[in-house]
Amino acid sequence: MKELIEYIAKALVDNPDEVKVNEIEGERTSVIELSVAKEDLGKVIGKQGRTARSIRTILSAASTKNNKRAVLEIIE
Amino acid sequence: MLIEKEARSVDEAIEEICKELGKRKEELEFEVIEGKSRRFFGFMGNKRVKVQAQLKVPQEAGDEGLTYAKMVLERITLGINVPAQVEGRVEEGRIYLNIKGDGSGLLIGRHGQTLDAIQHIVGRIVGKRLREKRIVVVDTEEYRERKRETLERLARRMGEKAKSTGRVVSLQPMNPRDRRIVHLALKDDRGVETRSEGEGELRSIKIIPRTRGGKEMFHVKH
Repeated sequence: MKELIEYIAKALVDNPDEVKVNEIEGERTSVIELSVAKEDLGKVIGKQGRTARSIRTILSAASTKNNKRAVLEIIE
Repeated sequence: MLIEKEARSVDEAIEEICKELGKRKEELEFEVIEGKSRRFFGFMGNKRVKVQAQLKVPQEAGDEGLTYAKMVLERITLGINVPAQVEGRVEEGRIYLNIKGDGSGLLIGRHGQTLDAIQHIVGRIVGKRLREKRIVVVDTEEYRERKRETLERLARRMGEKAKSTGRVVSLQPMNPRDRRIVHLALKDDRGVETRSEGEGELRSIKIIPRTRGGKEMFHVKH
């Protein structure tokens, strides 16, 4: 799932080299932390947060399929 | 493949290129790269023109956006762990992608929200690569078509309700695409009028029974 987030984020931003994804695995839930270049923040959040919301929705579909809950945190 | 020819006029150059390649004029794209036709001066002067030609790429097969969009979508479904085959086509510049063989509904989600999310992300990624906005529509199991039919039925039923009760019927908030379907479904119904009210996520349709000559519709018996 970390890898999926990394793919999507890199494809959306101007500075793919600065995309960092870190997965903190918990017992039931894992937290996926995404950080991007400052000027790319808008690209992963989108108008009214639509892109971020879409990424989270895709992540929850992946969670369902893989029986593992995951939440996305976009680090500023 | 690029070919160049020099001749006395553009027409002559085009003719020569066609002869050499054994192609018809319609199959090629031409560009004059040097000089203009000196036809006006007839035999005077020996200015020559240079014409460059290349084979036209068939529109469908060569659509970079479509090829890329398919790849992105396949990559995302793989990432969700629902590997699926994607077929696609281009219509009036729009990219239509269809995910084959999911069947579980997982990629559709509640009220189509997963499908919409995937569509949004694929659209953004494709727009980024092509540096221009392209409309990308993602579908699976004919969901979008089924949804449209459901909305049209709902619109007609609620239109009837507004007419028979003479009251305004408010629908649930919907996205612009769904609202458009409702507006269109009722646009030819003379008994009602539709309006969108509210902002953003909460914008919803009101179906208003139309009055005629100052009298409420429901008072008029036909």
